[in-house]
Amino acid sequence: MHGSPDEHILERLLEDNAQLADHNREHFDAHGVTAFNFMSAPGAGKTLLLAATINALRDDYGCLVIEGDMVGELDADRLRELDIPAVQIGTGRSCHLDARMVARVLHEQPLAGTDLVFIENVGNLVCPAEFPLGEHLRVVALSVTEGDDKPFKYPVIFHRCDAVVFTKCDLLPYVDFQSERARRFISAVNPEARVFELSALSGQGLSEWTGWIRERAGLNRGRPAGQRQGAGHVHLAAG
Amino acid sequence: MHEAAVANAILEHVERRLADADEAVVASVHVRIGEFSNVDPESLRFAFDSLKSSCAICREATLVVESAPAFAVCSEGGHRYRILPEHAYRCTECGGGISKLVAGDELDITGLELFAFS
Repeated sequence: MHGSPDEHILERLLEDNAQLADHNREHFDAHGVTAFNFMSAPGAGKTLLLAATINALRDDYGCLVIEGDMVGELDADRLRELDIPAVQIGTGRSCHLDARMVARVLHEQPLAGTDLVFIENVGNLVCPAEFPLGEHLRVVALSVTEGDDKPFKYPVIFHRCDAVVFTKCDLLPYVDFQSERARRFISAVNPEARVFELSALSGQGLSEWTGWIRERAGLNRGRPAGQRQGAGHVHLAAG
Repeated sequence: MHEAAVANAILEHVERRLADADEAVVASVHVRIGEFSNVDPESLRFAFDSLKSSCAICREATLVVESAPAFAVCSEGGHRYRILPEHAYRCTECGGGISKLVAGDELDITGLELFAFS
């Protein structure tokens, strides 16, 4: 019915989002901030992972969490109770955060004194993969209760990330999750990805993970002062 | 789920592109969707048909989706290979993984067909 179109064009469909994401990244760079986009299925333990991570880093780094959820402020409240600065984005009916939602927060949120921004995406292993937010690094959390085959079933999000964190590893004795199998699936779609195994509850494996964050955080902190605006605060040395 | 967001992006693109074209009515919009993206062609068509009434010039439009196969350069031998789930996304020659995605993540609008009035 439809042959070749009258007009051949080639435009990227999500180009608007990509441009806004670039804008967000420039904003982070200007403030010497390293930004992480945390993605996972619902209930993988992103919020607890963030709480444990920030607890380990907060003496050395100013941290801010941007929480994305469809409804409510439960996650942001959980973090605020731990004295972790958190801004909530309600996505309404949207299944993912997009760069525009993050840009709106950044316009109102001062970043002076902040070194690390952790963006917690809506729990979903599909949609967030298509919408970069301006982050420097992407992290996928995979809880051992979800099963070791998730990287095979949702290859795109595992392909487009820098690190995978197996969470709830204190439950390994009780669930049929083979870390080696999960790692094999990950290495097919993303041989470069760093893989961490930890329990945010018990603290096992946490220091190796936070060590990786410290290495990555250094990348932007080391930028020449002239390239950083609003960086008048004192940076403590990373431990 | 986010196919609705992608469908809206398609409609916005078309509207922007034809903003100055008087009396243009779109017959079809052609898009290319990579197999290694998270957009499902069937869901996208459904979302497009559900949302197209929001764009006056697209009310009659059909969405034509072309699926683009995914290819990668493998991490072991540097081979170019087709990414397929039945091979666990690995290179069939040497078993390497995806070192670089060459094609398959496209979400492109590739063409427009307008109704001709004479």
